[in-house]
Amino acid sequence: MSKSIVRILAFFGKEISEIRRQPRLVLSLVMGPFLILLIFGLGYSGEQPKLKTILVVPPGSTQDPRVQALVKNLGPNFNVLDVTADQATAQKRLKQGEADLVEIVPKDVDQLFGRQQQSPVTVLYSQIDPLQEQWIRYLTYVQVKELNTALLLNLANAGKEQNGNLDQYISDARQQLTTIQTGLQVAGNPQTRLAIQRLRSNNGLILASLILSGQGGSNDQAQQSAEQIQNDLQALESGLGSAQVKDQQAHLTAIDGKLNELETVAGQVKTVPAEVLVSPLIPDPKNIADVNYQPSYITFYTPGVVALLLQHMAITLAALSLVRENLLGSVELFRVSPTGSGQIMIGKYLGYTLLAGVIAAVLVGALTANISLGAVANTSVSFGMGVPFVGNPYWFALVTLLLIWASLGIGFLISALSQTESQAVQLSMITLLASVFFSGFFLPLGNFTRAVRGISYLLPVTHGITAYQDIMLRGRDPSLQVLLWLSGIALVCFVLAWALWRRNLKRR
Amino acid sequence: MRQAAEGCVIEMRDVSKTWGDVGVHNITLQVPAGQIFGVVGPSGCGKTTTIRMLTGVYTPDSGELRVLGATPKTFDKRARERIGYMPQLFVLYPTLTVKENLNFVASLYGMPWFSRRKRLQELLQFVELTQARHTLAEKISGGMKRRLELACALVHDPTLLFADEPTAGVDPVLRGKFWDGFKELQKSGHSLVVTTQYVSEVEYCDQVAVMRRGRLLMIETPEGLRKRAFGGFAVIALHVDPSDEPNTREILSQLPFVAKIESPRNTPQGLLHVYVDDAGTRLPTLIQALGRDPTIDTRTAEEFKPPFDEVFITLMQQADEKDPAGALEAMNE
Repeated sequence: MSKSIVRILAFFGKEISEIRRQPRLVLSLVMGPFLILLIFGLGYSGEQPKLKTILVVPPGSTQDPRVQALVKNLGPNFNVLDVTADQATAQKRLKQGEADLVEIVPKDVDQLFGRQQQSPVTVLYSQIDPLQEQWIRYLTYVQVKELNTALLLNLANAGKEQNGNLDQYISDARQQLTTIQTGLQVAGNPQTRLAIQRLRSNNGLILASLILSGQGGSNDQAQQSAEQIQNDLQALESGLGSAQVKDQQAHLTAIDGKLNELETVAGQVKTVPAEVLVSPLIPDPKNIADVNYQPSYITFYTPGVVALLLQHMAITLAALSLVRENLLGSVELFRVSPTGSGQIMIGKYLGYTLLAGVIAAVLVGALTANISLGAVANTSVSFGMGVPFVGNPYWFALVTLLLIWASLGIGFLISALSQTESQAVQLSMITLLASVFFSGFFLPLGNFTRAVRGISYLLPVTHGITAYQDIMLRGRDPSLQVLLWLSGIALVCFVLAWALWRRNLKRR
Repeated sequence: MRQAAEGCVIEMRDVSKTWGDVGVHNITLQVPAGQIFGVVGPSGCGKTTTIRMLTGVYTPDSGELRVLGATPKTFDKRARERIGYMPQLFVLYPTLTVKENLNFVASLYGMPWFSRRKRLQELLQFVELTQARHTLAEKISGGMKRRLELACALVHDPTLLFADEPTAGVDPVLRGKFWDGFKELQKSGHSLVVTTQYVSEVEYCDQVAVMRRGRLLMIETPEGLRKRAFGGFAVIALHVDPSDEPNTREILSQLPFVAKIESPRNTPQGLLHVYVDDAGTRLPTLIQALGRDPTIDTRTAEEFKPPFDEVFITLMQQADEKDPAGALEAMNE
């Protein structure tokens, strides 16, 4: 047993000593990501650049105030280079890369509502970047939506003016109602029939005005009331001259009640602002993440960078490790010696775990520290990047340990499969590339199909990023799923790498 | 002082290991305990393959092989701890110091940390690397690297040491020191199997196996090799006045123990090689016989010990004569 420990620690000590002799490597492993994050934090604004836009308007309308208003209201994401009626030149400039897009305004904008079909706002662009294309499509959608809203707002304001007539129509209707009531006392009074016809006509105008200015849910109620009035007026007219005065009085009472309802609806419409009528809903996003810091790009990406660095470092170290033993010829020494393949692997695991663990601790310390150096020197400079760490450090340590083991497992697997150092480096770089694409580091996991997400879950960094973000930024404990995935990858890779290495070491 | 083990430390019977046409074929040999056993032969003759089979790196295709009483393929940890191996190439770590490399190999053999310090010091002194113990292995000379490898092979005090061309690329002075070291090890009870391309080094060995094209030509003592080169005879070099040569030949041809008399090519006149069964006992008789004729002026008479390079070349030529097809193949290679 004690001899086994001595043999295992032989490799532990050897790996540490070899890396200790490469201070530049260690420094670059710590300072590299630190500097990258620092430059990223200082230099990345997160804002999309403005799209250089050429507006193509109908001939002769470049100086039209409505076009000027359109230019003014295009929104903050567009930088209008030119307003022109020459579509061909605009397209040429687009092709030459002078402009990002050309927007073609439809003819007769002021007559849009008179048409029987929608009018397209054509936007031309020349993009090979799918993300940029999506962004342009989204901006175009938002812009046209805003234009539509502006048009509706104008219409609603015009409807408000209609609302002034509504009061007049209702007042007239009440007057006709009084005439009818008086006329019912005198049989065959021609004024009564005339008043009924006027009231019918008034009722239609009230409804039309409400529809034009009211919009929304009050329409149904107004329509029902107007229909009821029409029915009552019909019954009243057909009963004129009969002896059923009581029934006719009941119709008049019903009409009066409905007129009251229409008056109430009209009063409501009058008080509602046009903006509310056009856009009754407005967005009101609220971030309920329980954090006491201001989220930023650097904050968000830090856990990912740490996880990615740890994985890459562990994979590269392990990938080169066994290959180097083969190329150096030390394997021949191991084959003759009483040391077993498992002892070699465990020794190397321990050495690299210590190294990666120390680097992780130093790196996270430097990233999360925010120590003012004013106390030791007359300066306002502070050490560290002040990235928040709100979670439990013990969970962080456990996840780091599992992440390192899982990554070492993949590295040793690569190493056991590689014949040369170039092969090992190449496979490590491919793993890094796969990690950047599929781990959720830049592109959300939800954007991938289920099958591709399978690849994501086989990468330790995917789980490392999730767990680190939870621990560092949300203060949550890592999920059991993350721990199981990392443990599983670590175990499976260790067993596979060991089996391959054992076969390689086997006496031939 | 270690007691030499009784019996043989190595037994090989009809052992073969081949990869297509290359490899070693039907090797049969025994190495008695406490010997320095040399394996000599031209490059690619199968020395390293033989050593690798003996250390368990390679498994023979056929034949029987026992090292220290066990089959190398099934060596347990204890058996491995009794074997030391110095590979042909430098396989230690360039970014570790001399002492760290030595420590690493000591750990491979499970030597306890606290009890190894003295052993390490002794070994560093033995290979004269004490001064360089803190130097990185990549910064020491080729000769120092070979010495470091020897120290590593001996760090766990093995019963049987395999050294694969330990003196390759080493200057003559250092080579001599290596062999002095091997002799010391032998005296302290170790058995050694040493391969070499330097034929002159066979004189340090108790027995020598001569290999050629994967086959064992012979196993002999160094003196036995010389005799083999001269057809099984010892040679007395006799220098007489050139005018006395005919008389001398006549007198010597009458002696019953003289098998052959030759005038070596490209040598001054009057020099004769006299083939006898045993130079030590026959030389006085020969001088006495010549002394009876006062006209013969005998200038020198001594046992002729040709350098082993010459012996080796002769042996190879003899082998080629026996196997001309093999000789042609060897030339094409």
